[in-house]
Amino acid sequence: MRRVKEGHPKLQEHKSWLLLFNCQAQGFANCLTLLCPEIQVEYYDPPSYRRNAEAIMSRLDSYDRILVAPRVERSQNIELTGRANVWRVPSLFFQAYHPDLCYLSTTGLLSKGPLGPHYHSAIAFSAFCRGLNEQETAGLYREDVYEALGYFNYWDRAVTELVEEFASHGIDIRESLVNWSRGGPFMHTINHPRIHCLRDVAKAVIRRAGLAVNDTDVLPHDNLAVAPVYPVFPEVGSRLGVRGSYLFKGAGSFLLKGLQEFISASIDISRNADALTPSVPGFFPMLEKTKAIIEVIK
Amino acid sequence: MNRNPYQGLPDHQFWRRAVAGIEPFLFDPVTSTKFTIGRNERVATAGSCFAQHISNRLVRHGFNYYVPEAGEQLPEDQRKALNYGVFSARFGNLYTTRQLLQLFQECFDGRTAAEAVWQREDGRFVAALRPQITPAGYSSEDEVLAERKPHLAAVRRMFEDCDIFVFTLGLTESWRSRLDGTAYPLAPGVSGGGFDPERHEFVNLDVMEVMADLDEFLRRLKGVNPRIKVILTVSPVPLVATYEPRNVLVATTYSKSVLRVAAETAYRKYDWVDYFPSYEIITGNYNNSAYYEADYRGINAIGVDHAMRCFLAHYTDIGAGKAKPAAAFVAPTSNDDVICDEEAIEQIRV
Repeated sequence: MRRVKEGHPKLQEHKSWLLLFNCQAQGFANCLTLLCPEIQVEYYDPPSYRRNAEAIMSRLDSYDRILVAPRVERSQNIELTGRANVWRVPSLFFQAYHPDLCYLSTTGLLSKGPLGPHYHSAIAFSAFCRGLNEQETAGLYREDVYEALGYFNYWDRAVTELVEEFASHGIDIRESLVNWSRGGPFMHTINHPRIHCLRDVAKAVIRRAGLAVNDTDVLPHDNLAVAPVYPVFPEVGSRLGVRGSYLFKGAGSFLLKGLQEFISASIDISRNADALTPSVPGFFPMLEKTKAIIEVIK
Repeated sequence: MNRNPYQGLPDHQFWRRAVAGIEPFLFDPVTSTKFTIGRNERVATAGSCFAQHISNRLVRHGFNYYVPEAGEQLPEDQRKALNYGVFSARFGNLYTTRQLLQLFQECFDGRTAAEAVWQREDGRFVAALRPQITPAGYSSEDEVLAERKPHLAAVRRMFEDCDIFVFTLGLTESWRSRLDGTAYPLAPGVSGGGFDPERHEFVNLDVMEVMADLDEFLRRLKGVNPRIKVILTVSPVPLVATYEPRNVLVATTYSKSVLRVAAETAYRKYDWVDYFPSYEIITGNYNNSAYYEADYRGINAIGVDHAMRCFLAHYTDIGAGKAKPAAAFVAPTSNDDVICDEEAIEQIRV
């Protein structure tokens, strides 16, 4: 992961930065490199951190700056207390485009979803729990159901929480967020932003460090686009000024699934899983609410 | 005291707060309306295409779209094919205020057109003032004229009985008869008839002419229907072509500017005439042309949705005073759960 540019004219001025982040780590690190050649970034996502934790912790003093996502710091129990060179930078999490997306677990582990990794549809799972068949489930993907589930009312709170979370760590992203909203949905899923968002966060961090930012339109490749892309449902999209669809992109492939195929795969997973449950705490309320509303509608 | 006159003004009067600093889909240029639309009030529509979007949405939400010429006697597929219900009566697109005024004069003054019927190349006949309303055309001139009478009776009922009249101003460029000044919706020869420079001429109405036509129409409408309220909009659709020897975008800017001034003048003059800024919602640079199709002319569904959200929110009880279902949020403190596992992360290390 360590990257050194040999022969770079400013080699002696390089700042050595450590980035401990989530799945956004690679894109974020690429953005830091692109925008500020003075920064030499060493980055780790949770699995690579776990593999190298001891070595990383032993050389913490060697970094000019340590950037850590608070969620990763908590979930990986990373001890950084008392270090003045640590900046906490939240990872991007934004639900408003994908209010139906949820996580489920089976036997204590995150359950794979119909797109590969862990993304599930709250409606599909709840309908299965209430005994609805495939056709009946497909019939729930409609405007009045979304209205009842509050799918159209996520925006304001999602914006407030994201802006406040960043502000609490000294980063103002309000203006960036308005810019992001001008160019279509800026999230692939609730926790996978498009690369230009990470570019803007990187820009803010570099400026905070008092370093110059390269003026360039070049963007690193969007590695999170390889992962699943959950569609913005048209009924939601029309209220957020973006085109929507019911085309679901799976992991590692660019073959899209239609709604029927997605539901069918969701039901198969629910049927075959060993006690598939909404045991991921954050998603309890939305799944309970979805099941209750489907019970009334059916 | 060193106050400047802009201090303390509301947010909507400042570009940064009302336009640049908010997400584009939240842009709402309506600051107040002169009236609202009740569920039982009869709403009639005419003009260019945007009026159709308003009627469609009002119908969908259970409002009273007034269609005195609805073709109830016909099966639904025929009604659709014959353009019943597109507007409140089968007058087709009324692109100019001149067309609107002369339609009113036909209804109430017995105005007639010197050249009311055109023959098509296939031998069929059409009404010069609505040449596309019956796609198959008619077998004779008399048949065309015979249909005009009941149509005008329906239009008259529309003007007299509706509570709210929505009119979308579309164009200033027009073709008219040299014989009696009758304005046509299309150039002679496009959908019937044939262009004859002795009998037809091009006209690009100026701001004084459009204002005068609109003002005369509004005053006379109020005269036959004292309770009437009017909503004016300007079509955001650019000209498909200009007959002026100028660039079509330059001609579009002129045309829309004239219409916008005319609408504004009527809005300022009459307390029963309102202006709804769908034009600004669609054409505003805040949306980076996101509401146009790839041809930069057609308006896409997202743009229409935005305009209609604003319309319904301000003119109707939809959304107002109704509790919105709460979003079932994932609390940020629990977001430690929202992670990608090793396998998922492996896939994105590319």
